[in-house]
Amino acid sequence: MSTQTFFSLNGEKSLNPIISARGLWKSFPGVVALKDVSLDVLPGEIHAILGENGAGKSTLLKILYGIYVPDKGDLFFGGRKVVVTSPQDAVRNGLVLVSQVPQLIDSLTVAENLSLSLSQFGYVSSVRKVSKFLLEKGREYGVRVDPDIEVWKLSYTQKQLVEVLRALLLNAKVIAFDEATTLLPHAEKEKLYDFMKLFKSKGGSVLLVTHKIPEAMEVSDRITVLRRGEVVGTVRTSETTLDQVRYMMFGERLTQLNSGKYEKLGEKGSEVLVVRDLWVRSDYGVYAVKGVSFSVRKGEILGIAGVAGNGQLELIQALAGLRKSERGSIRLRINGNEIDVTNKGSTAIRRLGIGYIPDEPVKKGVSLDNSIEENIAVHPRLTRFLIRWGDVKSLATDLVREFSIVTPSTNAKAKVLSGGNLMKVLVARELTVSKVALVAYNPTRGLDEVSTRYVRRLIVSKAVSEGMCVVVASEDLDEIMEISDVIAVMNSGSFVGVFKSGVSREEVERVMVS
Amino acid sequence: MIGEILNVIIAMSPIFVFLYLASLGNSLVEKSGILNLAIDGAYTLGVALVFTLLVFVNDPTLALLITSLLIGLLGVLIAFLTTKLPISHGAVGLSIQFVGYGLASFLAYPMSLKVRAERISLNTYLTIPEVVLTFLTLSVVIGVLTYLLIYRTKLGAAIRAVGENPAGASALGINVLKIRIVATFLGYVLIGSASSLYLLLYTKNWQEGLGMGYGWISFAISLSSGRHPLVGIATSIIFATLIRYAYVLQDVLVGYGISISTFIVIALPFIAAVFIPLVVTAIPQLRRRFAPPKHLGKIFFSEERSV
Repeated sequence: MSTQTFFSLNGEKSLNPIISARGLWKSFPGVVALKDVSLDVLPGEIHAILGENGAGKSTLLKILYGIYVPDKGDLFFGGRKVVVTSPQDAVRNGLVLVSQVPQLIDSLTVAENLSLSLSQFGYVSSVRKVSKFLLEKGREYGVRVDPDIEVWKLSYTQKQLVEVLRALLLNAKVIAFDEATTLLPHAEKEKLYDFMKLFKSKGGSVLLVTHKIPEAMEVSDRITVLRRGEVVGTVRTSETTLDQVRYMMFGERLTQLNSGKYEKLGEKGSEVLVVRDLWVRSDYGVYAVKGVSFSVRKGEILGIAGVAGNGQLELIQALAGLRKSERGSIRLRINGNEIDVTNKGSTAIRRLGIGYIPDEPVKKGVSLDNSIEENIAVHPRLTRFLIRWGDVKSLATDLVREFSIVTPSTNAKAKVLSGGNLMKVLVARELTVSKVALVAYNPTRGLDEVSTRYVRRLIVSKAVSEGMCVVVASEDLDEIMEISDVIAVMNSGSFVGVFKSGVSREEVERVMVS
Repeated sequence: MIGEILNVIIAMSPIFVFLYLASLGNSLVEKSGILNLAIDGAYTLGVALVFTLLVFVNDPTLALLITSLLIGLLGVLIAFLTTKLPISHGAVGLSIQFVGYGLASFLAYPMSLKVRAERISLNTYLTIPEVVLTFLTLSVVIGVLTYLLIYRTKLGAAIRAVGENPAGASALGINVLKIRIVATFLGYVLIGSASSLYLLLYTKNWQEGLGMGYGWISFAISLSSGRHPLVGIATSIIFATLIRYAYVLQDVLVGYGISISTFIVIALPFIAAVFIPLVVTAIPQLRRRFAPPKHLGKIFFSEERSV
């Protein structure tokens, strides 16, 4: 049975949609996130929702899943009009979400986590019983996870599998993947694609939310493109081309994306950052970084690739002075002086001219209740005891213009900005203060394509023109491949492969998952 | 020898019981993510309530049951205010603490006058080995049951989940408010019964301010045991020993030519309440194992724009 025969573009359907959204509106203070969005998910299809960051994809999904309530519009599940006000409602209607950040509780075991979702187990039933049930079901579905292992010990892919198993146990008719495959290496991605196809063949539907066009092209039957909160259109994947979808997604801004390679320096300078035998613990007290050694030269970009949760975050935090190094040393060579900065604390480190870009700007990078100016003034390299507000204001104004940050004024509170603009404030501040080195973790997460290009180019050009050395860890392998001079692959806390730029993607991925 | 050990156990048991049960209650409450700053007010109020009820019903067990239930309802109020509305855990906890102190005097002071004027003899529990050992056994059994509840059942997993990551728990299908209400109710029932036993098994009478401070000691016991019901047995023994044998320690020290003020002796359990958690957090291995729930004391918003 070919699924293609089910679909047509002009509204006539040979199958009733399993989920149907009609005229959804949702606004947040200062932003309209969804404008009159309608969507149909048919039985037995893989339906991709494609859009840039901030296009409204995750708002749409959160409405379907009952996390947000729409301001206007109707939802139909199986042809019935429903009001979905909680994830439980959505699950009852047959929709289960697998998100990019697995919604599992780290300190609980797999069985404990899943027991919370399974209504057939009452509150007094023992976890051991749930464990046994999971073992049986896991075998049946071919998803193998140890039910008694604590979730924090699992790899990212394993956590995704737990979520998939959860969806199956809840008898999902539609499984929504919210950017869940975006960060996976290709081999792991394939496993999930295979699963999606299998699920489809059994009559289930998949809603694949992504900002990566190739991903949507590779696996979906239909694609709905969102731009700035509106549906641009729905197309059949087999009848469209990559360029068409790109145009739908970016419109006239497409030209800004078509840019050539980055200018790179051929010769690098002397070593600036020297790390020797570094050991760092994770939040759970086990070693997350196990004896890593490397050095980065002036003007060089070291990219750290790896599946999330292999010690990259802990390594970056130790370099930024935010996490204790148990053993080993971190040294900087600035103007012929060698400075030991191991465990010297972030204020001292950042005064030396080290920039730090964390991911999750809301949690770790900016203070939401303060203005853009205040968020800039707080940096120890820009301000010591007294704040010169005039200087701060003019710097803020420059940065807002240079980075095209969308804000009412430099005095506006950070919380009125969208996620992408917040990230830009952070990146702008850090690139300004980075004189010696820049340490970054997922520096472009949450940015749209255009801003992503801009930030990457800026990092590379600062390295080239000002001789800054850069250590960047990213879960996005494309990013690492694009900007790094040297690529180190981190796996289980160690560097398991170090490559020159120009290495093939397959080679890097092979080491990432081995 | 065996007789001496038994005497020590019997002497310490009442203290152990009224500290351990309250610390168990605190662990349950805090495991669900609610910062339990109201504990000392609730404890003091519980002592006053059981005394007041005893004057009327003159049956210690009935007074204990009603007090436990009423203090349990106070817990429900705290869970509701901090989770549903949501108000800062600090503001709610400390306000209820002071309301508890005030209400305790308001209720029990007239009763204490009545008891004295009418020469009412209060029917409390007898401090005889059979009774004391029964309560000791009961409290340890309740400790083991609490352990099983927290670590072996789905309800326990849900309680820990809402304390660690309420947003995640909610996405998994848990009603955060409901679970917190259940956890604080059970926790405050234990705190209520602990405070009742403080009066019924230990002081046997009431005076202004009675019970004040014991809530905090139980809080410290719970914290320094990492909110673990079984580890709490050991820390409760340490604190019970300090309370029971502080004066003995004073005498022993005098024998060595060291004299310490009685005021310091009285303060010893409180000094320990500061010192023991400090030691626990200073040892890295213990600090991690005994770490508080990640979302303890934080306000939980159910609809929040995420970026």
